[in-house]
Amino acid sequence: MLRGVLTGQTGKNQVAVGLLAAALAAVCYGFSQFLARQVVTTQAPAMVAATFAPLVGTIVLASLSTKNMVQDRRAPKKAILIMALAGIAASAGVAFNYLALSRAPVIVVAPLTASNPLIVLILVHFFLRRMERVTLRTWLGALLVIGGVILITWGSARG
Amino acid sequence: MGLAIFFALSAAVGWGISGVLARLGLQHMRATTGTVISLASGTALVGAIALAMYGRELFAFSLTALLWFTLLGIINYPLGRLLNFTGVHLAGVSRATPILSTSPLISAALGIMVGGETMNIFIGLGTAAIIGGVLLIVTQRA
Repeated sequence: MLRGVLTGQTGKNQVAVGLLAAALAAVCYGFSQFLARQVVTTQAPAMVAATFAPLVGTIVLASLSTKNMVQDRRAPKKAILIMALAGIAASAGVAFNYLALSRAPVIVVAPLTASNPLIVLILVHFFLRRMERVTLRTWLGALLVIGGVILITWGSARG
Repeated sequence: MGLAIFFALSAAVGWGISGVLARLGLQHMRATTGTVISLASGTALVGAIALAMYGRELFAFSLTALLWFTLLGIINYPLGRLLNFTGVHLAGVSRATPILSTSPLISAALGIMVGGETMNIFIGLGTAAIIGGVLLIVTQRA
Protein backbone atom coordinates (compact mmCIF):
# COMPACT_ATOMS: atom_id res chain seq x y z
CA MET A 1 0.00 0.00 0.00
CA LEU A 2 2.84 2.38 0.90
CA ARG A 3 4.25 1.97 -2.62
CA GLY A 4 0.80 2.84 -4.00
CA VAL A 5 0.68 5.92 -1.76
CA LEU A 6 4.14 7.05 -2.89
CA THR A 7 3.57 6.36 -6.60
CA GLY A 8 -0.06 7.49 -6.72
CA GLN A 9 -1.16 4.15 -8.23
CA THR A 10 -3.70 2.47 -5.98
CA GLY A 11 -5.58 0.13 -8.34
CA LYS A 12 -9.29 -0.70 -8.20
CA ASN A 13 -10.02 -0.58 -4.46
CA GLN A 14 -9.53 3.17 -4.16
CA VAL A 15 -12.00 3.75 -1.31
CA ALA A 16 -10.78 0.75 0.71
CA VAL A 17 -7.14 1.87 0.33
CA GLY A 18 -8.20 5.40 1.31
CA LEU A 19 -9.98 4.20 4.46
CA LEU A 20 -6.98 2.02 5.38
CA ALA A 21 -4.65 5.00 4.83
CA ALA A 22 -6.86 7.14 7.11
CA ALA A 23 -6.80 4.44 9.81
CA LEU A 24 -2.99 4.16 9.58
CA ALA A 25 -2.72 7.96 9.74
CA ALA A 26 -4.79 7.87 12.97
CA VAL A 27 -2.32 5.32 14.39
CA CYS A 28 0.61 7.60 13.42
CA TYR A 29 -1.12 10.67 14.94
CA GLY A 30 -1.99 8.75 18.12
CA PHE A 31 1.59 7.54 18.47
CA SER A 32 2.99 11.01 17.73
CA GLN A 33 0.66 12.62 20.32
CA PHE A 34 2.09 10.21 22.86
CA LEU A 35 5.66 11.07 21.75
CA ALA A 36 4.91 14.81 21.62
CA ARG A 37 3.85 14.72 25.27
CA GLN A 38 7.30 13.31 26.15
CA VAL A 39 9.09 15.88 23.94
CA VAL A 40 7.33 19.01 25.25
CA THR A 41 7.62 17.93 28.89
CA THR A 42 11.27 16.88 28.82
CA GLN A 43 13.04 18.39 25.78
CA ALA A 44 11.74 21.69 24.40
CA PRO A 45 8.78 24.14 24.42
CA ALA A 46 5.79 23.16 22.30
CA MET A 47 6.31 25.83 19.62
CA VAL A 48 9.98 24.79 19.16
CA ALA A 49 8.91 21.18 18.65
CA ALA A 50 6.06 22.36 16.39
CA THR A 51 8.64 24.14 14.19
CA PHE A 52 11.40 21.57 13.92
CA ALA A 53 9.34 18.35 13.71
CA PRO A 54 7.51 19.47 10.51
CA LEU A 55 10.78 20.89 9.13
CA VAL A 56 12.37 17.43 9.44
CA GLY A 57 9.21 15.91 7.96
CA THR A 58 9.29 18.27 4.97
CA ILE A 59 12.94 17.50 4.22
CA VAL A 60 12.47 13.72 4.51
CA LEU A 61 9.28 13.60 2.39
CA ALA A 62 10.63 16.01 -0.25
CA SER A 63 13.75 13.87 -0.69
CA LEU A 64 11.66 10.67 -0.93
CA SER A 65 9.22 12.05 -3.50
CA THR A 66 11.43 14.11 -5.81
CA LYS A 67 10.30 12.09 -8.86
CA ASN A 68 6.60 12.71 -8.13
CA MET A 69 7.23 16.41 -7.56
CA VAL A 70 8.99 16.71 -10.92
CA GLN A 71 6.05 14.94 -12.60
CA ASP A 72 3.59 17.25 -10.84
CA ARG A 73 5.46 20.43 -11.82
CA ARG A 74 2.75 21.27 -14.37
CA ALA A 75 -0.05 21.10 -11.79
CA PRO A 76 -2.34 24.16 -11.96
CA LYS A 77 -1.06 27.10 -9.90
CA LYS A 78 -4.48 27.30 -8.25
CA ALA A 79 -4.08 23.71 -6.96
CA ILE A 80 -0.60 24.52 -5.58
CA LEU A 81 -2.04 27.58 -3.82
CA ILE A 82 -4.92 25.50 -2.41
CA MET A 83 -2.46 22.93 -1.00
CA ALA A 84 -0.32 25.72 0.50
CA LEU A 85 -3.47 27.15 2.14
CA ALA A 86 -4.36 23.64 3.40
CA GLY A 87 -0.95 23.52 5.11
CA ILE A 88 -1.40 26.97 6.62
CA ALA A 89 -4.88 26.05 7.89
CA ALA A 90 -3.54 22.81 9.44
CA SER A 91 -0.66 24.66 11.13
CA ALA A 92 -3.02 27.39 12.34
CA GLY A 93 -5.09 24.56 13.84
CA VAL A 94 -2.02 23.26 15.68
CA ALA A 95 -1.10 26.77 16.91
CA PHE A 96 -4.69 27.45 18.11
CA ASN A 97 -4.70 24.08 19.87
CA TYR A 98 -1.50 24.99 21.77
CA LEU A 99 -2.94 28.42 22.63
CA ALA A 100 -6.14 26.80 23.93
CA LEU A 101 -4.17 24.24 25.97
CA SER A 102 -2.09 27.03 27.51
CA ARG A 103 -5.30 28.65 28.85
CA ALA A 104 -7.52 25.70 29.79
CA PRO A 105 -7.12 22.05 30.79
CA VAL A 106 -7.17 19.31 28.15
CA ILE A 107 -10.53 18.09 29.50
CA VAL A 108 -12.08 21.35 28.23
CA VAL A 109 -10.05 21.75 25.03
CA ALA A 110 -10.05 18.19 23.63
CA PRO A 111 -13.85 17.76 23.34
CA LEU A 112 -14.04 21.07 21.41
CA THR A 113 -11.21 20.22 19.02
CA ALA A 114 -12.78 16.76 18.60
CA SER A 115 -15.71 18.48 16.84
CA ASN A 116 -13.45 18.71 13.76
CA PRO A 117 -15.35 15.97 11.81
CA LEU A 118 -18.61 17.92 12.25
CA ILE A 119 -16.95 21.06 10.84
CA VAL A 120 -15.75 18.98 7.87
CA LEU A 121 -19.22 17.51 7.24
CA ILE A 122 -20.79 21.00 7.37
CA LEU A 123 -18.14 22.38 4.96
CA VAL A 124 -18.60 19.41 2.61
CA HIS A 125 -22.37 19.92 2.69
CA PHE A 126 -22.00 23.55 1.61
CA PHE A 127 -18.89 23.55 -0.61
CA LEU A 128 -18.20 20.02 -1.92
CA ARG A 129 -21.74 18.84 -2.58
CA ARG A 130 -20.84 17.93 -6.16
CA MET A 131 -17.83 15.86 -5.11
CA GLU A 132 -19.08 14.04 -2.02
CA ARG A 133 -22.38 12.82 -0.68
CA VAL A 134 -22.73 12.98 3.10
CA THR A 135 -25.14 10.26 4.22
CA LEU A 136 -27.04 9.93 7.51
CA ARG A 137 -24.73 6.99 8.24
CA THR A 138 -21.66 9.25 7.94
CA TRP A 139 -23.23 11.83 10.32
CA LEU A 140 -24.08 9.08 12.86
CA GLY A 141 -20.61 7.55 12.54
CA ALA A 142 -18.93 10.95 13.04
CA LEU A 143 -21.11 11.71 16.09
CA LEU A 144 -20.26 8.33 17.65
CA VAL A 145 -16.50 8.93 17.06
CA ILE A 146 -16.71 12.43 18.61
CA GLY A 147 -18.65 11.05 21.60
CA GLY A 148 -16.03 8.31 21.99
CA VAL A 149 -13.15 10.81 21.84
CA ILE A 150 -14.82 12.96 24.53
CA LEU A 151 -15.34 9.91 26.78
CA ILE A 152 -11.71 8.80 26.33
CA THR A 153 -10.49 12.33 27.13
CA TRP A 154 -12.56 12.36 30.34
CA GLY A 155 -11.42 8.85 31.20
CA SER A 156 -7.73 9.72 30.65
CA ALA A 157 -8.04 12.94 32.71
CA ARG A 158 -9.54 10.96 35.61
CA GLY A 159 -6.49 8.64 35.49
CA MET B 1 -11.86 30.40 29.71
CA GLY B 2 -13.87 32.05 26.93
CA LEU B 3 -10.71 32.75 24.93
CA ALA B 4 -9.57 29.12 25.36
CA ILE B 5 -12.92 27.90 23.99
CA PHE B 6 -12.57 30.28 21.03
CA PHE B 7 -9.03 28.99 20.34
CA ALA B 8 -10.10 25.34 20.64
CA LEU B 9 -12.99 25.84 18.21
CA SER B 10 -10.65 27.77 15.88
CA ALA B 11 -8.30 24.76 15.92
CA ALA B 12 -11.17 22.48 14.88
CA VAL B 13 -12.17 24.92 12.11
CA GLY B 14 -8.53 25.18 10.93
CA TRP B 15 -8.18 21.39 10.66
CA GLY B 16 -11.58 21.12 9.00
CA ILE B 17 -10.73 23.75 6.37
CA SER B 18 -7.38 22.02 5.77
CA GLY B 19 -9.08 18.70 5.00
CA VAL B 20 -11.59 20.28 2.60
CA LEU B 21 -8.85 22.26 0.79
CA ALA B 22 -6.72 19.11 0.52
CA ARG B 23 -9.65 17.29 -1.08
CA LEU B 24 -9.84 20.06 -3.70
CA GLY B 25 -6.10 20.50 -4.34
CA LEU B 26 -5.30 16.77 -4.56
CA GLN B 27 -7.50 16.40 -7.63
CA HIS B 28 -4.62 17.88 -9.63
CA MET B 29 -1.50 16.35 -8.05
CA ARG B 30 -0.23 13.30 -6.20
CA ALA B 31 -0.68 13.09 -2.43
CA THR B 32 3.11 13.17 -1.91
CA THR B 33 3.52 16.47 -3.80
CA GLY B 34 0.48 18.00 -2.06
CA THR B 35 1.80 16.92 1.34
CA VAL B 36 5.23 18.48 0.69
CA ILE B 37 3.62 21.79 -0.40
CA SER B 38 1.30 21.85 2.63
CA LEU B 39 4.15 20.98 5.00
CA ALA B 40 6.45 23.66 3.60
CA SER B 41 3.82 26.42 3.88
CA GLY B 42 2.69 25.31 7.33
CA THR B 43 6.25 25.05 8.64
CA ALA B 44 6.99 28.56 7.36
CA LEU B 45 3.98 29.94 9.26
CA VAL B 46 4.71 28.15 12.55
CA GLY B 47 8.45 28.89 12.19
CA ALA B 48 7.76 32.61 11.81
CA ILE B 49 5.50 32.63 14.89
CA ALA B 50 8.04 30.61 16.91
CA LEU B 51 10.88 32.92 15.82
CA ALA B 52 8.85 35.96 16.91
CA MET B 53 8.11 34.31 20.27
CA TYR B 54 11.53 32.85 21.09
CA GLY B 55 14.09 34.67 18.90
CA ARG B 56 17.52 33.03 19.03
CA GLU B 57 16.40 30.75 21.87
CA LEU B 58 14.49 28.83 19.21
CA PHE B 59 17.75 27.17 18.19
CA ALA B 60 19.01 26.46 21.72
CA PHE B 61 18.15 22.78 22.01
CA SER B 62 20.23 19.69 22.67
CA LEU B 63 21.21 16.93 20.24
CA THR B 64 18.86 14.60 22.14
CA ALA B 65 16.00 17.04 21.47
CA LEU B 66 16.92 17.09 17.76
CA LEU B 67 16.68 13.28 17.68
CA TRP B 68 13.25 13.48 19.32
CA PHE B 69 12.15 16.11 16.75
CA THR B 70 13.36 13.81 13.96
CA LEU B 71 11.43 10.81 15.29
CA LEU B 72 8.31 12.91 15.89
CA GLY B 73 8.66 14.63 12.52
CA ILE B 74 8.94 11.35 10.58
CA ILE B 75 5.99 9.68 12.32
CA ASN B 76 3.73 12.73 12.15
CA TYR B 77 4.46 14.07 8.65
CA PRO B 78 5.97 11.82 5.96
CA LEU B 79 3.83 9.04 7.49
CA GLY B 80 0.87 10.67 9.28
CA ARG B 81 0.02 13.56 6.98
CA LEU B 82 0.81 11.69 3.77
CA LEU B 83 -1.52 8.85 4.81
CA ASN B 84 -4.08 11.45 5.95
CA PHE B 85 -4.08 13.21 2.56
CA THR B 86 -4.10 9.87 0.72
CA GLY B 87 -7.17 8.88 2.73
CA VAL B 88 -8.87 12.21 1.99
CA HIS B 89 -8.03 11.90 -1.72
CA LEU B 90 -9.16 8.29 -2.19
CA ALA B 91 -12.03 7.84 0.29
CA GLY B 92 -13.28 11.44 0.47
CA VAL B 93 -12.84 13.97 3.27
CA SER B 94 -16.25 13.23 4.87
CA ARG B 95 -15.37 9.54 5.41
CA ALA B 96 -11.65 9.90 6.13
CA THR B 97 -11.87 12.68 8.76
CA PRO B 98 -13.95 10.78 11.37
CA ILE B 99 -11.53 7.86 11.05
CA LEU B 100 -8.56 10.21 11.45
CA SER B 101 -10.19 11.58 14.60
CA THR B 102 -9.84 8.24 16.35
CA SER B 103 -6.18 8.98 17.18
CA PRO B 104 -6.92 9.66 20.93
CA LEU B 105 -7.89 5.99 21.12
CA ILE B 106 -4.34 5.05 20.07
CA SER B 107 -2.84 7.57 22.53
CA ALA B 108 -5.01 6.18 25.35
CA ALA B 109 -4.03 2.59 24.45
CA LEU B 110 -0.33 3.54 24.45
CA GLY B 111 -0.80 5.40 27.75
CA ILE B 112 -2.28 2.24 29.29
CA MET B 113 0.23 -0.20 27.74
CA VAL B 114 3.44 1.86 28.06
CA GLY B 115 2.72 4.87 30.28
CA GLY B 116 1.22 3.00 33.23
CA GLU B 117 -2.17 4.74 32.96
CA THR B 118 -5.27 2.83 34.06
CA MET B 119 -8.33 1.68 32.10
CA ASN B 120 -11.71 2.90 33.36
CA ILE B 121 -15.37 2.86 32.35
CA PHE B 122 -15.11 6.11 30.33
CA ILE B 123 -12.22 4.80 28.23
CA GLY B 124 -14.07 1.49 27.72
CA LEU B 125 -17.30 3.22 26.61
CA GLY B 126 -15.36 5.69 24.45
CA THR B 127 -13.51 2.85 22.72
CA ALA B 128 -16.81 1.06 21.99
CA ALA B 129 -18.36 4.28 20.61
CA ILE B 130 -15.35 4.95 18.35
CA ILE B 131 -15.33 1.38 17.01
CA GLY B 132 -19.09 1.59 16.37
CA GLY B 133 -18.73 4.94 14.57
CA VAL B 134 -15.85 3.75 12.39
CA LEU B 135 -17.75 0.56 11.49
CA LEU B 136 -20.76 2.65 10.42
CA ILE B 137 -18.58 4.75 8.10
CA VAL B 138 -16.40 1.95 6.76
CA THR B 139 -19.21 -0.48 5.96
CA GLN B 140 -21.34 1.93 3.92
CA ARG B 141 -21.30 1.50 0.17
CA ALA B 142 -19.25 4.00 -1.81
